[in-house]
This record gives sequence, C-alpha cells and structure tokens, in this order.
Amino acid sequence: MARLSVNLNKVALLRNSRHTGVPDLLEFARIAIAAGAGGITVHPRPDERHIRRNDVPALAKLMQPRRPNLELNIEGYPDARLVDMATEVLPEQCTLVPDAPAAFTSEKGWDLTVDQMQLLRPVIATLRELKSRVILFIDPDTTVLDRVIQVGERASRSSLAAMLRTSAHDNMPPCLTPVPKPRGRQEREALW
Amino acid sequence: MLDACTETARQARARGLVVNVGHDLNLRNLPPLIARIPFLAEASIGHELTADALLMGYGSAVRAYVTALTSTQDVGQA
Repeated sequence: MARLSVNLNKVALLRNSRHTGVPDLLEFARIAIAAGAGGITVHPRPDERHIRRNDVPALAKLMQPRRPNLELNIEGYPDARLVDMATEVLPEQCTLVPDAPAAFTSEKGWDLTVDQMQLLRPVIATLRELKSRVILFIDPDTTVLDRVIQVGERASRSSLAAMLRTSAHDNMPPCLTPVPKPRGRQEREALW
Repeated sequence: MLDACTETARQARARGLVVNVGHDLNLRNLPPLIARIPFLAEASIGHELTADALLMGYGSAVRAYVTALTSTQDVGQA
C-alpha cells in the first residue's frame, strides 16, 4: 500500500506570513503522524519562502523515535546546500528536482540530458553513502526511464526510484513562468 | 495523463524502480490513480491536502488521504 508523505511546505508558507511562529510546523507534523502519515516531506527552497533550513533538523528530531519506518523526505535541487542538509539529518529519502532556484513550483521533471546526468551523478553517489533512497522527479514519459537507470548505474534499484509528475502543466514553458495560469477545481479534477 | 502515468509506472517497475507520485494530487484524482497503479510506494501531497484541511481539519484531511491511498476498491476506468 502506498505511503502518504505529508508535505508541510504550505503550513510553513502560512507561518512565514507573520513573525509569530504561528502555525507551529512541528505541531502539524505531530498531527500528520498521529493521523497515519508514513512520512513527512519538506522542500526547502533557497529563498526559504516556506520551509526554512532550520526547520529540517527540528523535524528530523521530532521524527527520530519513529524513524526509519517514518520517513523524512527532503525534496530539492541537487546542490551543495541540499547535500549539507542531507548530511546533517540523514533523510530516509531525497527527491531530486530540476527546478531553477526561483521556480514557482516543480513544473518539469528531469529530462536527464548529458549535462543533467553530470550534475546528478556525484550527488546521487553522496546520498547513497548517506543511505538515503534517491528519487528522481520525472514526467510520465517512458523514454526517460532508461536514462534513470543509466544515471544511477551503480545504485541498487531499490535505492534509486522515480517520482512521476502527476500535474498537467504540459503547455507551460518549463521553469520560465513564475505564476501558472489559475486552474479551477473542475479542471484539476479532470486531469484524468 | 492517467494513461501516461500508468504506462511509465509499469515500465519503471519492470526495470526494478520504486515508483512514487506527486503534484496536484487530491481526493478526487487519487482513487483512479491508485486503481491503475496499485504498486505505488509513496504519494507526497501538500497543497491540496492543506486546502482540504481548511475545511476538514488537518488530522481529518490526513486520514482522508491515507484512506484514499490504501483503499483498493475498484473505481473503474477513468
């Protein structure tokens, strides 16, 4: 059965609109865990507009008694900042996304071009040393799968995985549109 | 989109990859996805869950998504 990993970014976004620390991210993590979440996901973007870097060790500490069955998943662009965070808290899973630092949200998966594979290889190797499962965020496109295998060729299959992008932003230029066209609920529900 | 996800997930699994999903998932589009890709390892969900939580309460919203992910009822072909 699929595990639910609750992404706390939007709770952090609300918190960051004031300087009071309300709502308390850790309280929402506790509620999510008590309600049956199998993991907590954070995507600490460089501008810290939602999850801040110092949220990550606090969440890891809160989750510690129930890890590794309860999984901490850090999403992010594969740079030194992400590797530093992963080294500090040893997440069970890292989901690597190709977002430019100022991206509004993750609109496009890895194409795994030669340049992208060069970028990913050393990061995947480091994360594997940390015993973190590595997830590559890809579009639902079968032609990318061979390159997923290729980029993680020395990774065991269970430590390298694919995360399918299930949204329908196909008509948007990747990572160039700061504000997506608003979509009504009916349109979102009609993705399939 | 559902067909593309299903086929990519199937081929990923055949190659030995674990398959996770995420982005714009909600209580309405999760059931057909789970029905078509029952071997999913994880769904990470934030925006839609938080929006539902404004109406349902945070704990209730999380429980609703856990139920949607673990439900095996046949929802037919969407």
